Amino acid sequence: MLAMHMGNELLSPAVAVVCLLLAGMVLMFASWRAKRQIDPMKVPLMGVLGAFVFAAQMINFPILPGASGHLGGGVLLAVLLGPHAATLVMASILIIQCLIFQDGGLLSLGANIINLGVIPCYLGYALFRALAGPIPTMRRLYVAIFVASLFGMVAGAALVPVQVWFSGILTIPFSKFLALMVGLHILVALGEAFITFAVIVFVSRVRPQAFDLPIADAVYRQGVLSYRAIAASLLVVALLLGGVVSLTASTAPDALESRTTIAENPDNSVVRENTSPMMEKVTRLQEQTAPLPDYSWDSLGQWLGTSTSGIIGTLLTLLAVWQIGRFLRLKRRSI
Amino acid sequence: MHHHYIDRFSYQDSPIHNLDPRAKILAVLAYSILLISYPRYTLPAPWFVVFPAALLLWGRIPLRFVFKHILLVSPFIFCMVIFTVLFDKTPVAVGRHVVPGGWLTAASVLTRFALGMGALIGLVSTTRFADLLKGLEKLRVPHLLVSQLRFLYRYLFLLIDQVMHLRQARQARDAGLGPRAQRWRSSAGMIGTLFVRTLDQAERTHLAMLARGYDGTIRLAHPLHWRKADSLFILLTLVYLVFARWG
Repeated sequence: MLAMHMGNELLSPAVAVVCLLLAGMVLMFASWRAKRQIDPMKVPLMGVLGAFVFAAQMINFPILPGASGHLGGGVLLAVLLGPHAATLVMASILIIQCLIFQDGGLLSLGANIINLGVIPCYLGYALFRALAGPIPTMRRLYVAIFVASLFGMVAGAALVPVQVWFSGILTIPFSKFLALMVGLHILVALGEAFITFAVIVFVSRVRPQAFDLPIADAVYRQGVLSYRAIAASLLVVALLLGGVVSLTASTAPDALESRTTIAENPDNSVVRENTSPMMEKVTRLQEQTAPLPDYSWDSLGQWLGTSTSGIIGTLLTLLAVWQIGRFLRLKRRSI
Repeated sequence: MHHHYIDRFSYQDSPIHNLDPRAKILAVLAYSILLISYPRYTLPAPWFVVFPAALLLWGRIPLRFVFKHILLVSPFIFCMVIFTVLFDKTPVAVGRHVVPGGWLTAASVLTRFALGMGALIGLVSTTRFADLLKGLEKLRVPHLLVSQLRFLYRYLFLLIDQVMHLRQARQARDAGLGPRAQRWRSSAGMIGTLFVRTLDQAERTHLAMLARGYDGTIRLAHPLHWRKADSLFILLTLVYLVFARWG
């Protein structure tokens, strides 16, 4: 949904080469397994499905007025083709994106194949299989796709800060970068899950022989995402965002971070502190007005407090967004 | 077999276009590795401009197109750079001045990004995609992956046209209005339709290829052959790179 392709210049040569080697090994394993599973005549079909994901990314889904998202494709391919072939297809998509559209660099291809191809396909597929069961019903199918998209995409995105940290080119604090990437991709995965589910249900109804997954009759008959399922997914995402992200965004530097801080700034000098009068004014204003000052209640433990405030804050934000959305819709009706 | 949107300039004729794709791939790889080998607070040497500029100018690729394209793919890098500027306030001495480290990293990363992209565009815009793939195959990239890439590229044109039709049809039906749930459902239906059509198209095209004697290998109308000019190009590039990095 977002062009989160890593560029050459964010990686050091060592990290880039290690990632390229790893990705190459996984691709060799995948093509070995895929060759055994897939009829050689069907190899072109895999390339065609790559083109399909590429083209499907041009179909936009309206999210908010002015903002739209599109399919990522890793989990969809894994469900349709199995993890080995799906990884190969995702890798070919990423290579084409690099060569033709220059999205991501040549040397960072290894990192991108791992983050956006290998992890979503293998991890997503494992979760999907574990949760969907032998003959998935509507609800199980949806839950399986939702969990697979969520963990597959988030785990891949979480590797970006790790690779960047090992390269040592950027000096963004590790925990903040991680929180940002994970938070963003929890949102992205929500959209990805909706789209993947809708497409799989559509295909299983119009072309059931297209993939070898047996699906319960209920899917053929109704096959529509209920509002309850949407609401439940939104709630899960909100809780995750609030809990996980606010926890990692806590002010104390973690182990990884303090290592870089000390290396760069041995005496922890004042240079890192921000003392502009504007910042002080904003901080004071925030302290006076915020209902949850500094994201923690002193009475509770620091750990629990941060996380709870985060969840409450997210719920409030969600409520506000929902109200704004309702307001906008009312306004449009009245015109 | 080319698309005005995808490979506009690779069918021109120039000394750079005539080089062997393997030579160009290796040269660009070596250039990229040396470009990212600089530490965080160091700008690459000014000599690094020469290689992409030579590829692009000699290959007669319009610079306007190159700059526009670099801007188009830059948002993620820009985000990253903004974060470094915000977080990294380590003082670094540059000559007689002291500069926050974040700004140096930002300048360095953006320079490397622009130069690296320039070289990559120089490679891709001066090489026909079929030749590029043949070069990769000769450089021992696994056969299955290369044939994947070949099919992906081959079908992409057909499917992009299909998507344009689907989008136009939806635009004609709802003019971009209507309740959001309905639009989501229609988007999902469009992707599903595209998938089903893709399967059918794949079968037809594959049968057509078999009927014309496809056996898994692609034969180019102009097979690759390594000439003296290619060896000279590689040699000059390596000498230049060593000079630019350590000279």
